[in-house]
Amino acid sequence: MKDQTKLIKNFAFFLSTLLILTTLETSLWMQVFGTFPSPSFWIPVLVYWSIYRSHKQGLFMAYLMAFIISPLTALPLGMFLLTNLVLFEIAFFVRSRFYQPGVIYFTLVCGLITFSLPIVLLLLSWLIENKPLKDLQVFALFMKPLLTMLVCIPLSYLFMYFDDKTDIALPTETGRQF
Amino acid sequence: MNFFNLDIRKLILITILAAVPLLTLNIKNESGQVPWFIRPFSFTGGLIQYAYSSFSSGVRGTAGTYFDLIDIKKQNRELLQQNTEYRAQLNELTELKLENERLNKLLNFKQKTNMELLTAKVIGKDLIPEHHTITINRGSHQGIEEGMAAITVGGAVGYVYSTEPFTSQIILLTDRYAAIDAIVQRSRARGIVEGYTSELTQLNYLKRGDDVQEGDLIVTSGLDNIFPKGFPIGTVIKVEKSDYDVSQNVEVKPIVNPSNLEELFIVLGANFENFLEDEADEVPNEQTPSKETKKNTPEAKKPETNNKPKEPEA
Repeated sequence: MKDQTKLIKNFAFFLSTLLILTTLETSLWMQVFGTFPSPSFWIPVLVYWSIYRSHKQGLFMAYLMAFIISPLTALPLGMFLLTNLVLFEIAFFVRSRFYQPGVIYFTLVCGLITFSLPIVLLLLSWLIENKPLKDLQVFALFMKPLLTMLVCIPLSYLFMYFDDKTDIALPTETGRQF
Repeated sequence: MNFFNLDIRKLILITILAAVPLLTLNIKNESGQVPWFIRPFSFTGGLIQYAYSSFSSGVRGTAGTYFDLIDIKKQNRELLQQNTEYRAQLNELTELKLENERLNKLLNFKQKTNMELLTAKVIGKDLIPEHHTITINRGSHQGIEEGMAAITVGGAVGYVYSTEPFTSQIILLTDRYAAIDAIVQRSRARGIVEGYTSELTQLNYLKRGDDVQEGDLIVTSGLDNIFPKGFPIGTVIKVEKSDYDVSQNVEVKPIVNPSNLEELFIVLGANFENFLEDEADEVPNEQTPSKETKKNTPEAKKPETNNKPKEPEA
C-alpha cells in the first residue's frame, strides 16, 4: 500500500512537471524567443519512463502524457497517442539493445527520440491521414534535438530527485533486468 | 719692451669679447628677422624646447591619465550603467510605440466596421511545429465559440478551433486541417482555401475553366457569415493546370504572416459585413442597419488592400 502511494506520488510529480514544461514550451518560450524552435520538453519525460521504468508503467505513462498534452496541439488525440506510443517503443527498443546508466545515455536517447518525432509524425500522417503532412521544418528538425539534449541534463537530475524522494531505484545493469 | 707689462694678444681678445655684446646691443633689431649667425642657435634651441615641451606634456599626460584612471573607471562604470538604463528605456519606448501603432490600427478598424469584434492577444503556439495553431487569451467566458473567425486589420488569420473558459486555440490558414470558403476577388471564382505548407495555402475545388491568375487577391466569400465578405486571405502566387485534371492547382500566399502576430480580432458577429465595394449595395439594409452612416461606407470600411500582392502584415 505504501509502495503504491509512492508510485502514485511519483506519477503525480512527473505529470505535473510535464504540464509545467509543455506550457512553458508553448507559451513562455514563444514570448521570449519568438519563432525560434523550442526544445521538446515532453520528450525527456517520455524517454525517462521508457528507459528507467518497466514496460507496463512506461506504456501507462505514455498514454497519460498523450491525454494531458494533446490539448496543446491541433494534432488529433489518436494521432498524438499513436506517435507517442511509437516514440516510446523506439526508446524502449534502444534500451533493450543498449543500456548504460548515467546522464549522457539519457541525453543521447532524448536527442534520438526528438529527432525521430517529426519523421514518425510524417510517416504516420502519410499512412493514416487523408490529408497528410506536406513538409518538415528542416531547421527545427535539427535544432530541436540539440536544444532538447541541453535541457535533458538538468531535467535528468530533477527526475532522479523525484525518484529519490519516492524511493524508486534506477536500474544499473542492462535492459534484461526490467 | 712693454711699458705697462701688458699682453697685447690678451687685450685684443678681451676687447673683441667685450665689443661683441656692445655691438649686438647697438644693432637695430628688425622684427621678424633673425640674424644669420643666430639662426642655428635659435633653431637648435627651438628643437630642444619642442622636445622638452613634448616630453613634459607626455609625462604630464601619462601621469594625469594614471592619476585620473580611478576616476575614469568610476565614471565609465556609471556611464555604462546609465547607458544600459537608457538603452532599456529606449527599447521599452520603441516597443510601446510599436504596440501603440498596432493597437491604434486595430482600434481604427474596430471603430469603422459593423462587425462585433473582440480583441485578443496571442499567448501561445502549437506543441508540434508541423501544426499551425496559436493560443489566445480569450475564451468561452468572453463569448468565444468554436468556428468563429480570427482576423487582423490586414486579412484573415484562421478560426477558433477549440475553446477553454479563458483561452482559445486558433487554427491558422496554413494548417493542413484549416479550410475557408473563398472567392477570387477579380473573377468571383469560388473555391476552398486549405492549409498546404507552413507558409502557403491552396485554393482547391476550383473548376478548370475558372479565371485565376497570379497576383489575384483571394478573399473570403462570407457565405456562412462567419467571416465578413470580401476580406483578404492571400494572393495567388502559382497557377497550374495539368492536361487531364478537372481542377487547377492554385497556391496562395496568406497576407497575414502568423509568426509575427501579437494581437488579433475574433469576429463575434460578422453582421453581413461586406468589403467588396461593388457588391455592398446588394446587401439588404435591414441586415446592415448602420451601413448608411458615413463611417461605415465601403470606402471607410475597406481594408488597406488591392489586387497587388501585399507584404505580410506585421
